[in-house]
Amino acid sequence: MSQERLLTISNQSKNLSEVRQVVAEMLEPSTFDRKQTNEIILAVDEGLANVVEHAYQGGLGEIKLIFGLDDDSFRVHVRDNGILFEPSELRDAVDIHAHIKKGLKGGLGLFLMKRIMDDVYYTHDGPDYVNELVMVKKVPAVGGETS
Amino acid sequence: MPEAYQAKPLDAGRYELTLAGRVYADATPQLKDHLMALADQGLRGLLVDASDLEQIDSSGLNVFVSLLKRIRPDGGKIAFYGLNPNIQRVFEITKLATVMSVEVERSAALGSLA
Repeated sequence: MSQERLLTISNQSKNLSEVRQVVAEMLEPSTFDRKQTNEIILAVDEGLANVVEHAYQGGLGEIKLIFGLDDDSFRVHVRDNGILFEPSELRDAVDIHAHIKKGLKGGLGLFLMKRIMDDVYYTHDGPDYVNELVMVKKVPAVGGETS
Repeated sequence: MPEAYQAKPLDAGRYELTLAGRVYADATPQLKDHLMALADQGLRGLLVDASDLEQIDSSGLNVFVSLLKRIRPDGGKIAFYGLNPNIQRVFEITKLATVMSVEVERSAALGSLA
């Protein structure tokens, strides 16, 4: 089992629903159960929403997505040509009390993404993009759980 | 979709909001405007019926974080009930359940606003 899908969207939040649909369609025949699929959809949504909101700083821009599913993992690559994103902004923990006290708006989404997926990282060395967000989730064995 | 998000007054300063379906970034601006307008009018307790809520992302959660920041200095509280396992997991991961009440039953959630 191996499949790949490509999608190019503009950085508008209205396009998030199409991406959710693609992820749901790809995972439907896989061994991810409904709960895992919903979590992955949420994680991809969070990662992409961050790119939509911040990459082009209010301007219009293009985002390329590559989805890959095989027997080992489900992978999503999100590529943009916006401002350079610092990977250090990926948080290992959220202090929700400080979050409320300071009125922070960001952070929760990327934290969710990192907790749900098995691997999340950024690359910046592609020939046709500035940032590439890569999200990976291991495919569970039949009747089993991901590690 | 945002038109469905209309909090109903319960009693002085307390309102009940029903969420349904999926609350994502493309649907939250009007929800935030609505709740912040109620906060300006004296909202100090918000009961949230999430029985028919399928999923909520961080932009939706941030609406309630922003509201809590606004009303908490005046003793304001937010209480959810009826969360499905997906959303319970989100509340656990983000630790939102430590700053907002999360109950199974409406009566318990309402009681936590007292």
